[in-house]
Amino acid sequence: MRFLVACFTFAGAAVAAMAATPVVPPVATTGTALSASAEAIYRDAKPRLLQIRTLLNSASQKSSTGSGFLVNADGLAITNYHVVSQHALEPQTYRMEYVSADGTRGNLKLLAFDVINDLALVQLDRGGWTHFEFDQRALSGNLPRGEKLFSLGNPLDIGFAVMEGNYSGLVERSYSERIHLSGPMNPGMSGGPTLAASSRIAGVNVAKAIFAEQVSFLVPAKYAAALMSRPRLPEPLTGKLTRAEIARQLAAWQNGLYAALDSKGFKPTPSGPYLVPESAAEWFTCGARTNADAKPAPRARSDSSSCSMQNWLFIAGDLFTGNVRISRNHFKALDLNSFQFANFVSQSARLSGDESNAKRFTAPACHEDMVIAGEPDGKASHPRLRVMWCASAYRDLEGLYNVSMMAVTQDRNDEAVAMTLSMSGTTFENASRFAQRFIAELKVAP
Amino acid sequence: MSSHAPFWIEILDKSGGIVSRQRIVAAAVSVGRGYDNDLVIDDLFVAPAQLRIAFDEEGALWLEDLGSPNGTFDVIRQANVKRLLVGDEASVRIGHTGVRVRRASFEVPAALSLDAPHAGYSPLMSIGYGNAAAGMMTAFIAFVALSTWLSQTSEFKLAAYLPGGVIFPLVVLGWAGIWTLITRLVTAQGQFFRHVALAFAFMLALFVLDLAADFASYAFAWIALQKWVPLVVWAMFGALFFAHIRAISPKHDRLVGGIIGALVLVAIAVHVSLRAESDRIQAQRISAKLMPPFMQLKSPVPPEQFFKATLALKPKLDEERKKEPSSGGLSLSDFD
Repeated sequence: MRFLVACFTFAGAAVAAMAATPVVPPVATTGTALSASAEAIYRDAKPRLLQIRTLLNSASQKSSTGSGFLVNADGLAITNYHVVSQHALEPQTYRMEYVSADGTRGNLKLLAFDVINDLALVQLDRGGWTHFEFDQRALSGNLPRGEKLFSLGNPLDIGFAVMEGNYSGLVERSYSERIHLSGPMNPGMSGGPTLAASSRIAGVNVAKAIFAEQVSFLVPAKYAAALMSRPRLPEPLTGKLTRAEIARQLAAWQNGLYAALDSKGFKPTPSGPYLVPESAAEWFTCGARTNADAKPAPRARSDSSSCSMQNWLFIAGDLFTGNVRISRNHFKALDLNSFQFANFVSQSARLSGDESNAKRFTAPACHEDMVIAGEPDGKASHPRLRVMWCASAYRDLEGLYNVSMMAVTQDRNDEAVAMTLSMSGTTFENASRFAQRFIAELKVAP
Repeated sequence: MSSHAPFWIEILDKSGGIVSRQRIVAAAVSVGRGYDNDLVIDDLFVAPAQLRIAFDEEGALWLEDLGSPNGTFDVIRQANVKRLLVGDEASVRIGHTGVRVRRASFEVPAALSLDAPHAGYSPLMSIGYGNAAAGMMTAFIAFVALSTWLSQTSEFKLAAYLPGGVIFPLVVLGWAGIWTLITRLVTAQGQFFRHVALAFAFMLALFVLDLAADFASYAFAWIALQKWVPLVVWAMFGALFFAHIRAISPKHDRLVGGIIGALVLVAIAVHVSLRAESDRIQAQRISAKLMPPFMQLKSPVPPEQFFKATLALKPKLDEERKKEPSSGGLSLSDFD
């Protein structure tokens, strides 16, 4: 399963001019619930909605469109980071513009962003707006499951729309906190609000699952509220400043992630004569594969499984990061001598990179050696390992690396297990520490 | 008169190699293109009656031009001669043909030591080029077949043995054939087996080198070694050319060696300068070629030491990220 980040690629359709509707007075602060009907919600919300466009400076042509919403009368609005990422990363090349429900346009300024929760805070060029309030129950995480929610935005750049869905709690087994919305979402709605029946903000539209119907994701309202009080980015904004800020946020975030993974620890899992580490954290999704039914019949068995965190953070259209993956491949010779078996393992278990993204990553630097961990501890001793380690640096994000490690057991002529640990967007130190702990957990079964 | 010591007449090719050699016991022989001569030479620039080689009353051996239009050229004095006294040896050119006369008293140098090769000596000489060629070819085919078998992980396929067993040998024979042709154009003998033996020796060395590099990178974890293999291959290529050229003529060993050495250095320099690029691409796929565990000859390091070494990569990467991108990085689509 992969998540498609909604909207940011869509561009091109002509914007239908929106007829201005009578302005509904700002939502009362008493918290009285307004009409739960979608029609009333839409009428009430429309003047508080924005379409957010990224334009190529040189051509004044749309590069991408998304949605946003006003959160104060002075023109402070929230959207997704991925909606404004082109401007954020290259402010000299891209500028931002908003289109309000009555068709007025104006310039936008990026004030702050939260790359971990895919949020951005922008400032409109004028004040005097009606705006949304945050739903208190959503802020405190007390929305009841099944509650009707209303997602708003400008899908496919064809006009503002409302779509109904239901609150289905937080996404389970996910390190990042996301609301699971059972309802539709379409490209162009990213950054738009999803409202509770109270007409108040429950979350921010962010993504939907592809290969699935009506499974969409929201960023919880509390992160949007928190973003409003974040320190503002310095002016004038440059790509360098933005990248430094992204790197800072990612570094802090992955510190938390690796500390969490570390405290969750590993559960030893039998794999042939070995006990291999699997993360005990519940954030991994696993899949398995075998060559047992291959034709012609294989001369060695290969049973693999791969567990991935599904935790991709959007940085740029061609750059996602923050994932951790642990894979293992168990090999057993059926009809191969030791040389042939070694060759079989070499062919099947290898680290390989992706040559296409030289813009984002350096070429990898690798280290390889024979390794053995610790002394036999009585119950389980450690096998000899051939360990290969490779790291690439992020060109734009100082201090962050993609690190992959493969460890192949080297103590038997006819059986081996190859473990792969892949960590994207980590610091060198965290990757090294986690990998070292991982190696120590790879044992020979007593 | 048979009291004279016998002597030898040798017909030489342009580079001084011996084409034929005849032992003469008569007191006088005639040499020329005509069939009334004792020794007939098929060279259109030689007169029908060209030379007479005979003993005089005192027992001295003379070589005498019989009034040929192109004359007889004394190679040692570098002049045309009418009459030439043969001491132990005389060497002349008639037409385009070299003729050397040597008396039985001619002294040859002592036997060379097998342990001290010198100009003109080829190690293959001692076993005979035909045997050497057959041996090298057999060794090469056997080696390739064995390594093919040891690396085979799918079911037996005859086709897997086709390159080592048929295609490579045919290419090698073709290569040797070309050198034979060149050699034959320049000298009297093509020396086919010598070229075959050389070419197979080279191919065998290439495969052994490859295996040795794989072995060293597995057994001792000398991964960097792989980088030097192409440079060794260039040097081996140079050696192969040198050996082939030497089969044509060993006279200019130093010159040929110098030129080939220089070309090898140029090739290596170009290779190294281009490698900065190709290295990056190759590095995408790291793989020690694994071998059976008993072939590990280095004792494993503790993890602390390993991870300390990985930390040393950090400054290198930090330096690298400041440079302009030229080719790929590692992404995490690595497990299949």
